[in-house]
Amino acid sequence: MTVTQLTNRIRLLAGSVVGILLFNGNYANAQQGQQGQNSELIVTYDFATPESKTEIPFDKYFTLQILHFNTEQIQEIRVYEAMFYNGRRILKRDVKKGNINTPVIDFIVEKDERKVKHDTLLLYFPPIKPDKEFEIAVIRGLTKNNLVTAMNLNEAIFNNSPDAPDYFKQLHKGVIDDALNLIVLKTNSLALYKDKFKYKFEPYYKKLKAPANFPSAPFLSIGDLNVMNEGFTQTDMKFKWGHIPARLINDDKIDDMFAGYLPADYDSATKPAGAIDFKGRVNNLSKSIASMDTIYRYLNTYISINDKPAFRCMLLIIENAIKRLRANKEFINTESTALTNAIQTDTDLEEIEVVVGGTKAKDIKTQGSNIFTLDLGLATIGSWNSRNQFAALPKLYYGVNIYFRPINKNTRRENIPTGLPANPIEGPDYNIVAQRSIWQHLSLTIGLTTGGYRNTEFDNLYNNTTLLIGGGYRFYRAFKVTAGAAFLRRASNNPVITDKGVFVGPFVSFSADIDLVQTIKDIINPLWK
Amino acid sequence: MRKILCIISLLVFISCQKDLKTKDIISDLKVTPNVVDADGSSLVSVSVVLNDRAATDKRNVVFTTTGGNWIDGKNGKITVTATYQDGEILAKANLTAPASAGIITITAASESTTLNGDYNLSATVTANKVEPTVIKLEPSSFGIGANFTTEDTLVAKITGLNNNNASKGVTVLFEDLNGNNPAGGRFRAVQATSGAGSTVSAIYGAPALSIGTPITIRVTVLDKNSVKTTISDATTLTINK
Repeated sequence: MTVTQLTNRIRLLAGSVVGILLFNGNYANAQQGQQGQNSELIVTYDFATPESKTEIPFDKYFTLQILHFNTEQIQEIRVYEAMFYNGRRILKRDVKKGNINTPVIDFIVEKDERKVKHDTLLLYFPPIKPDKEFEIAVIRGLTKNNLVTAMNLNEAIFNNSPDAPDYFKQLHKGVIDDALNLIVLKTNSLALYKDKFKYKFEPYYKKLKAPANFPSAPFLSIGDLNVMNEGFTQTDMKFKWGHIPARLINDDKIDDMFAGYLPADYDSATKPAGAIDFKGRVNNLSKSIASMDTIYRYLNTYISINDKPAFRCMLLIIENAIKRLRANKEFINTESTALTNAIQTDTDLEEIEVVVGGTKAKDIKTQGSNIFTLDLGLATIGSWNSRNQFAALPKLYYGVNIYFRPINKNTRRENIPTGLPANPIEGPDYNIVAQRSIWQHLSLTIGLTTGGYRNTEFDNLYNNTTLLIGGGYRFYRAFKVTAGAAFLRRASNNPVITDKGVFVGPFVSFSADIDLVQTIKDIINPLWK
Repeated sequence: MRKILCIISLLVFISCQKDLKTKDIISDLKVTPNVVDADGSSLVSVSVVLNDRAATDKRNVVFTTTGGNWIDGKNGKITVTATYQDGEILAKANLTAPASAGIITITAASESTTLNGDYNLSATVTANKVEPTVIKLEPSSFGIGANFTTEDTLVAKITGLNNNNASKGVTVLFEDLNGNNPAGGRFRAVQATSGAGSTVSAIYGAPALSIGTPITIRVTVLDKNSVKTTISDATTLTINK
């Protein structure tokens, strides 16, 4: 085994021991990205209430579990940075890039495709910076109400109806988030919508509206119906549906029946189905199939008693009509589903549902604990004595650390990602995503030493304490090295002056978080009892 | 990281003790006057200012001199405790001028020793020679026994222009005259050159002369070439037994 290998093994073993003793957790590779296995915490948010049991952490991967939330039709989940402006919560715009009106997406959230329940959404979040407000915008295809509005709008456009602008306004209003004024409808004018309709939706309407465009057309001819009409007049049995062919001929509703606008047994009170009432049209077709099937069975029975060539001919015509009715029903079902899918999957026609989030501390105590921490450690003050010899003065000290940004003491440095694009020209700007930074480790430390000095040339600054002010670097979450200036008293090299004057000398220290010290104390104390 | 190292380096640098200078301990050494007659009695006032943060037990200042004598001092050295005066911590001492001409150096230093060096201040005083202008002879007795049966002590005081002592080193000549001729007596223990007290002396014994004979004792200042000057004094002793 080489020296390098041995060193690496020792390092690995030491790291493991320290990890087990102090962190009691698993190392997750930050480079793996925003995935479930990186998550260190589950935050549950009830969309119905709406409230969450735990606060959203910062600088930590977490999973957001949203209960009582419609998980259908979700296409994308975006996170936008929010801010308060004039008492209103608004989305932050990137003015620098000229995006005055369009909010910049901070990042796209990955969701767990395995739905725990149909009304539960699991979202995997990367570490978020502290003191950030954000909105989780769940983008989905048009749902029921908006879909109906879009269908009405489509029909109005298709029919050149004057109602089209009103339907468009209704749709526009339906897809906007009222609180944030976040519009996801990219076709944000009727003219643009009409263009989209023209090339994307109109073909469906053309196909579905005109029976002549149906694949099974042409349907029954007038001649076929006359044959049927004549046939029924030759029977002496009263036939419940015998009037159907005659009425279809008289009213010229043959195509309407085959297109599903009317059932075969319609009467004067029957209201025709609308062109986009695909469900109604399918129902009508089902009714017509049932009617024709009954006629077929009745006639088949009748032939066994009174077989005539005309009746045989009628059977063929009815059989053919049933085939076409079934084909049309299938066609309308398929095409209307395709149309609905086309609308719901269109990325220009989306609606939004917003979940509010943030990493701002809710109270001053939490906020304070994120900025201030207490340490206990050993400082070594260096100084030149009266004989100009360097003296090292070790001292116990306790101090308060003031961080330049809120820090999450429970976050491991390894779990904070690196390498996110700093200023992407397009796409998410990752502005609220925490990245590994020196500011997660640097702090201003103000400390006081305890006890006197053995070296009589030195003395405490005030009341048996020496003041330490320096910059600290946190590592392994609970430990810190600090370097800075110590304020103490030192004997003068002037032989006539016996007073010790205040001077500033350098110090370096090693310290541990009070919380950790307390934990160690809790472990050790029982051993001495 | 580089910035942090720079800051720590700066702190290490600024935590160094600043170089100690003499003025951080004592300053403003004053000598008044700095020109004085070398008469062995003129006073020179010396003062020095101590650091105003000096501890009360660290205020002793040691003055030393290469000439003259400190009043209350010993061996050219005196230790004085500085006191607070007029907003300063002052150490003062007085020095009597030397009897010899020349430049003397006065040094002040804190009694608190330092390990890294000596920190003291120095000043010089010029002691100008006081030339003799007057010599005055005083016998111990005006009567003396003949044939060396008794002796008379003769002391002559040499003074300068300001009636102060002349600088030491003035050489004189003692003579005894019986009329205009030498009397033939003997001088012993002659101190013909003046010292710090600016005096010369001798012990005189008279020869065998009859009672009542007057003997003139004359003392004359000699120049550097041992030639008599006009500065002289005389007294008359009478043979009394």
